[in-house]
Amino acid sequence: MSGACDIRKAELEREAPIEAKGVWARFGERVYMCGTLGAAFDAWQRRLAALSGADAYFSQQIGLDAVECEMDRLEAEARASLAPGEKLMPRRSPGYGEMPLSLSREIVDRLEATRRIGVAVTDSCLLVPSKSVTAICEIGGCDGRD
Amino acid sequence: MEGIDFLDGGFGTMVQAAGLPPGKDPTDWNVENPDAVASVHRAYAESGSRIVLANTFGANRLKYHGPYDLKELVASAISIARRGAASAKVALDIGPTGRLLKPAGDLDFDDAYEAFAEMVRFGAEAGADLVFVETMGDTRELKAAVLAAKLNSNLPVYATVALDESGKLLTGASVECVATLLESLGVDAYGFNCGLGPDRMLPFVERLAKVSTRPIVVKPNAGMPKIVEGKTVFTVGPAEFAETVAKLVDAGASIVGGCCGTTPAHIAAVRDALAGYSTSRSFNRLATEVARAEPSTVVSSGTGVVELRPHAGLVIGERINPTGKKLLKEAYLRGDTAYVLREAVKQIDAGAEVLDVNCGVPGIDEAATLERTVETVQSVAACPIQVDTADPVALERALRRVNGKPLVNSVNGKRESMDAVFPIVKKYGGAIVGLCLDESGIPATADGRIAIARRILDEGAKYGFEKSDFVFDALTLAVSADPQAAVVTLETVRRLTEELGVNTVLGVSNVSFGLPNRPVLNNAMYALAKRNGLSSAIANPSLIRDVIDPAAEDVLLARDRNCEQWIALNAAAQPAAPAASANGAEGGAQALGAAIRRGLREDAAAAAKAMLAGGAGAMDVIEKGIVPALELVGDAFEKGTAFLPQLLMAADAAGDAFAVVRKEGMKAADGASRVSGRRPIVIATVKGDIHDIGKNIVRALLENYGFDVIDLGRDVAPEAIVERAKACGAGMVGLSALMTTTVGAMAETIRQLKAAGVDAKTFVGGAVVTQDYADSIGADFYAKDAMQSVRIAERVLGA
Repeated sequence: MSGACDIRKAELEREAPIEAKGVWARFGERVYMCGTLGAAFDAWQRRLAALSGADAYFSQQIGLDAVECEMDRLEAEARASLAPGEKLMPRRSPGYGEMPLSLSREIVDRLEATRRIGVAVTDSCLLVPSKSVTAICEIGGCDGRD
Repeated sequence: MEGIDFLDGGFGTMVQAAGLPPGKDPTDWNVENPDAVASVHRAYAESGSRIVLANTFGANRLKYHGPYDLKELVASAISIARRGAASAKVALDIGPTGRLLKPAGDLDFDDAYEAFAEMVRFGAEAGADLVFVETMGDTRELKAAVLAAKLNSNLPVYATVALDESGKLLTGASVECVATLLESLGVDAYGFNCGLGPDRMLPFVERLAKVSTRPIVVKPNAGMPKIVEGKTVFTVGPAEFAETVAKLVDAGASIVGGCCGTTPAHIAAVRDALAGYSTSRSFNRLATEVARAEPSTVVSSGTGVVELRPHAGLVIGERINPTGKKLLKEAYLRGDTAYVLREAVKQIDAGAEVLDVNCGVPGIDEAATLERTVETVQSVAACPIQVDTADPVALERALRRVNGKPLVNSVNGKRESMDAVFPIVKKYGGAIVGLCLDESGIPATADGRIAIARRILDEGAKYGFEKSDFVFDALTLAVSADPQAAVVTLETVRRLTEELGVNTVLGVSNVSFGLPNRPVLNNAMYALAKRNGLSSAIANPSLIRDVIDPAAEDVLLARDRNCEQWIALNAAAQPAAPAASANGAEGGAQALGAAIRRGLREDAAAAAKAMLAGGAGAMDVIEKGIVPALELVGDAFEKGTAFLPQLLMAADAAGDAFAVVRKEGMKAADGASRVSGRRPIVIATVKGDIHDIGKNIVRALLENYGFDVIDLGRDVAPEAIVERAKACGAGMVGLSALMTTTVGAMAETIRQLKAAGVDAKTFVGGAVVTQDYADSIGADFYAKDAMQSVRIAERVLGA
């Protein structure tokens, strides 16, 4: 049975319309980032969910992995841009820990993410398209290795 | 230089250079620093701009959150532009709201429309010369803005969209898709701004020139933007910019300016570079290319276009039409979106290129249902829609909501029909299906039908519709009632194609009414009609094929008198009833159970079919095959020996087996759950929450365990949930919420359900919902996962 799951998930991974986009920028001692899989992924997921609960589940996993991958890419770009002695602290997203969900709006606005990659924030502070992530990394001083 | 219009260039970068602080909304400067704003307009006018865009880009109520009154801001912006650029026309500039419209986001179309309409009224009152909609990244929002401009002023409307490097909008619309929409809405000029530098815009201008009949507008950036230290930087200088813009004019653009990073120096350079250009040259070429194009009818969705042309026979899916479909009728009456979604997806998977949407059920609020169904279908369908209604009110509401240019089904030769339908389609855009009938009914001859088509074309021309805006239905009647019926229809299709030069459509299946083996006759009719020029057929995409059976051809061409041979041949070919076999049923149940446990959907459906064919009853299939298998997998999940994906795959397989039982074993009834007498379960994602994957998984699992689920969708208001739960006599109401910001709506829904005295148990779930929270808001149950939802439902409604 788990074999059937693996096969189906692999099929969906090949079919998934993943066109990840992201933007990041440094504002003082912080790096803001926003990544998304765009509207096409949401539409594909809605289509799958209409016919299959399992496909809805697998597509969710695929989407979460892919958008995290895009965030990793943005983080790597930001890290590569740091001056000697600077260090990128762990990535944190609004809604987790003490970072309020409402911070997403500031990140999206400052990065102009709506115009540039099509990410918007709803009245209830959710990101749309649904497979979108905002995050902040603080920039720290020398970690002793640089 | 007659014919080329020069726009202005970047505004934000100019006011920032003039001292606008970072993060400050430039709109406020219409009140706080009008001289600085006027200076920017003046600089552009002195550089050659003949149209300047007033400082109103973000002056809509959804985007503007500053201290000033919007009417005052817009009036001030128009007046400042007039003062700064006295020699230029002043455009009311409309930018995006910064929100995403449903279904991608949470903004309702009407809210977007109202925000733009208000701006347009303010701008028109303040004396703007035209409306310039720009930087749009979503065809829905583009349509809302253009409609607002057209329906709230008499000003010319220009519209430009922001493409990405692949030549698409952020929501996936292609160049041709944008063109089809804007042509159908009747804008005066359109094209591209922002997003790209002029060099990267070139291939997309070339594509646009092939399909556009209007002047093409370009406002590229000064190259591609880069963010350095939080600031956006553009690197293309005036000379290089002007050189490339000249290539855009060569490609067909005739209204040119600049966007981000461009300055008066860029515009002056463009003006100088184009000094030797004869604009009539580019216009003439454009006109020639359009004239050369083969007449075709193009319709569009939010992401793509479909072209109807003679002999193509493309399939318009007919399954979202309640005529003869009891389950769809019920889904409409109950507000259940899941059924419609499934039908839409199945038809697209089967090859439908357009989906017909019809909600004509007696006693239903057709306008509200059609509007809702169009939006539901669009949320999963990348193909265009055919809005199918005889009610002008329903037609208007649906057309307003269509993302793209739809087919409109239909107008006919009756005066009343033409007077009602043409003005609505003119307003909202669309290609029109013209039925060849009038006050006297359906003519018996092709001559009569062609005459009606001509009359519809003539009347349509008075509204500005051209031949390519029509698709004519020659009408199919039953050959069992009139042996010449198909002959006349085929002749009409041929003459519509050849004599009138129009595209055609047929609902082919009427032809076989009253005869055996209808699919074979339908296929033959479709194939023969294609050979006579048929552009499109309204049919079931899973069944229709381009195949001509010789005996069927004899029937259709009136060579089989009274269809005698056909009836004789096909009556004998009817399958005999299967003989009952008790042993077969036992073996079948084992095979079915194994297929379900392994999550093999096709095998499960085949096993259920085999059981029924072997003489097993519907309840045998359910009780001996489906239920025990689901129980095994469910138990394994709860013990931790199976996991959610396995459970869901097993449930999908069970769902397919249930579907077979419903279709083939219970034709008198319409669902296993109602046979067992259980009350329905209403589920929804609460108001403000648009993340619905969890809810969809719960729905799938409940359905596949045989419960009757009414899925109201996502972002559903408490009032709507109360109303539907009451109306359908729900036994349970399930609510899902993902985030802390939306669980409040869950509490409010439960409060309203109780206040309204709805006799249903509530269960709640979602990422941030806990047992404590469920208790605190008075929910009857907390479901920590989808399987627990099933267990709760079994406890409340019976297993």
